[in-house]
Amino acid sequence: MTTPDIGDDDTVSLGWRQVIMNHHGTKTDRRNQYRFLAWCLAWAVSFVAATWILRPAPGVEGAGAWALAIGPSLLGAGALLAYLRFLRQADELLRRIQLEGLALGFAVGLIFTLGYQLLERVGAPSLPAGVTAVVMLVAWAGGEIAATMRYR
Amino acid sequence: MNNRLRVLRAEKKWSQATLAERLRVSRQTVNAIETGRYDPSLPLAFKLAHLFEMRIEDIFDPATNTAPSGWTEL
Repeated sequence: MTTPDIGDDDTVSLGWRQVIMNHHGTKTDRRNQYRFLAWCLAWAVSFVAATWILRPAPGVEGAGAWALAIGPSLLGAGALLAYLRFLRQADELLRRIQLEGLALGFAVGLIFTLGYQLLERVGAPSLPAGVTAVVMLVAWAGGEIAATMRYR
Repeated sequence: MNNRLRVLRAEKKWSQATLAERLRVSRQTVNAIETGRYDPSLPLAFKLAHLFEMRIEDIFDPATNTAPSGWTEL
């Protein structure tokens, strides 16, 4: 039996640009992803602003300083909730890709954090506390890209 | 695993996007299932069977396993 012609819109093999731009998922997935990204952007902006405002004296002090210090974390919590909502409503293949990326990010971050402590003992330079977060984010993104390519 | 999804879809003259819409999944998921790169969850397999009015085992061939198996295909 020959396969009837079903048009030429079936080639969904993703190129690198589409993988990086995450052209995957349903309309609901994209809406939830944009919502998550908006929370992340607000979190990032507030973090940078708070870091700058809370610089050493003559910076802000008292209750205002505490509010500025806590504020970004509240926005981070909002981003977390948005991400959980995205995961729960996500297309099942997209959810698998996201979880594989998360697993890689978490594991690489953990290995890096613990491993670098040993390296510091033998003379490696001390790194700022935020480096672990950056390593985790990069590994997370890399894991997502790798998983997307595997299932394309 | 191998499956007849592409043939069944073609018989109905549906595009992957059309099938994805009916299943409420992404087009990429439909493509990954058709190419054997991804095995659907049980609820999705039942949706497929219901949509094509067939049994799951008439669509999928459990004797084959072509999907990435995690540890063996990093």
